[in-house]
Amino acid sequence: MEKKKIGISDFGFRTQLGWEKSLEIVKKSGFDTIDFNLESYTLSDSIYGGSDDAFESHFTAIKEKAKELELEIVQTHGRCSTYVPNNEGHNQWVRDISEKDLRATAILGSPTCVIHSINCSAWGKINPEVLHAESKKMYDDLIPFAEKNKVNISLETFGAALMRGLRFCDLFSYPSEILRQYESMDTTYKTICLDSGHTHEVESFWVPPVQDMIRALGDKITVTHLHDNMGVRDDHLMPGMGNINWPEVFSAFEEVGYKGSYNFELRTNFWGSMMEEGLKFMGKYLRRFVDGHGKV
Amino acid sequence: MLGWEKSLELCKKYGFDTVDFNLECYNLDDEIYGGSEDAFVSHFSAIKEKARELELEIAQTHGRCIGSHPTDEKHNAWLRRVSEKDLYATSILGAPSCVIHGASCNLWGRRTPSELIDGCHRMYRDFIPAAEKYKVNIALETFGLTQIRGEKLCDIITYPEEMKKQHDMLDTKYKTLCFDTGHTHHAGDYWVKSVAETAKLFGKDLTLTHLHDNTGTRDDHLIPGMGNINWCELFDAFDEIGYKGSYNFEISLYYWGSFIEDALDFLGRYLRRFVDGHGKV
Repeated sequence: MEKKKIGISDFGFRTQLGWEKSLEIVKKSGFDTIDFNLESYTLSDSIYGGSDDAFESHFTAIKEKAKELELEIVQTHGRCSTYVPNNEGHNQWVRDISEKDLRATAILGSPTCVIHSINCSAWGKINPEVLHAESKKMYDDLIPFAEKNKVNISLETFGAALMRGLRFCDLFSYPSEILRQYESMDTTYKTICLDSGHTHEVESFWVPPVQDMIRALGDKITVTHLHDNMGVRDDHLMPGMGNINWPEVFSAFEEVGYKGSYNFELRTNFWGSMMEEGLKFMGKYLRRFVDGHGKV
Repeated sequence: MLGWEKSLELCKKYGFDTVDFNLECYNLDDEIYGGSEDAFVSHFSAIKEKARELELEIAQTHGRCIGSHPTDEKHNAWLRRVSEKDLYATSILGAPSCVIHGASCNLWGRRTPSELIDGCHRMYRDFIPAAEKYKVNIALETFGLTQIRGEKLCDIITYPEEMKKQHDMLDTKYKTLCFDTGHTHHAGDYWVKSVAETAKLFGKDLTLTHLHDNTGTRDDHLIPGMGNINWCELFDAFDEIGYKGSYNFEISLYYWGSFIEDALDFLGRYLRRFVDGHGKV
């Protein structure tokens, strides 16, 4: 039986460790892949805001280091803040920065960049048809950059939205709406990222459990953000610390023939000065958890 | 999962100085609590000896989590009998205190505060003879949220002022307070004081702890740092009141499964640095 790949999102520790040490420790901790977060770059910094050569050279260096370590950059994370209503300045920024994110993803040799769709926290509880139209408009604007760089735009399964303190369920948390959104994208450069924590935190809104979400989205899922919670908040806990039914989740992945990395998007910032030990501990635990089909 | 002997060995091996020995796994119909007094004494003496040999202090025990019932006298009689055994076991183990949960809204429902305060007081008062006989403190534990038919509500003894009164009302010197940080923190939306303010209010009456974290919504028993308790403030408060007890962590461990030994190894190192770092690593 083929060994399952395990990976980790670097959003909680790369800023602290720097990208080079970050890659080294991830590899040393037993991970096969990494989810490289691009949200730390902005249009005014020296990389995204500098020359093309500097941009190319920066991401090529990261790619080379990962290659040397035999660590696969299996996905990147683009923007969480995407189109909002009535703010063309912000939306232009989303286009400009996402173009850079997709270019960086291509240089890194990664096939996919996760870009959040528009969300109800910004758009409110409006007509679902309008949300679909606005979401399509945004992705239509980004598709040329994806095609130029031959990189997939990945939709991500959503969870709870907050509006004036009121918690409700985002439209793009329901599998039928995610599939409709996916089908509306006129490109082959598209995929879906299953975020287990998002799905689980809105089960009380009749969103199916994570395992059924996987079955509903099937082979369109090629990347993951795996983490746990208690069904109330998006806590990004280690799997097993919440109440997701992980053995069922692993069975569903097998049923749909999932071949991607089991990429974990966990909170790590609290390890502080014990980050290296914390990542090693997590790597060892997650390897056993994945090999144990969701159990240790 | 591990058995008491291996449990004690692992706690010591991974750098813990003290252990909080849970008694809830014993019941009146098992061979220890339900058997002869000789068997009972021999069982807990063996545990005490093992801890002594390891130089591991049994700093506290945990008695029953279920408190008294407003009308079910059969339940209350059972509670008195089993708590007497818990206090006796605590004494044999050489631990100074046994944590016993108070009367909670989960059995009492929505009552007036005075009914709840009185009910809770009567429950603890009934335990005093056993506590005095065995020279062991009854530890009152700070509560959090309760659910009645799916509806969340805040227990009266979640408010530290009420807990302190409850403690002061008990007419014995064999009493103390156990501060459960997770309980207090997840009830923050109900105007319960912050963990640091609670520790300050308890002052010198606070001798025991159940330290764990959460995000303010559920009693998740997370590793400190994983939730949003302000630990640095709490450690300042502990210093301010001259807290001398053990920093005892009550973290969920069941999910580590076969990984438990690796987890204790890592947690032992993490918690040592966390405590030495005054709530930071």
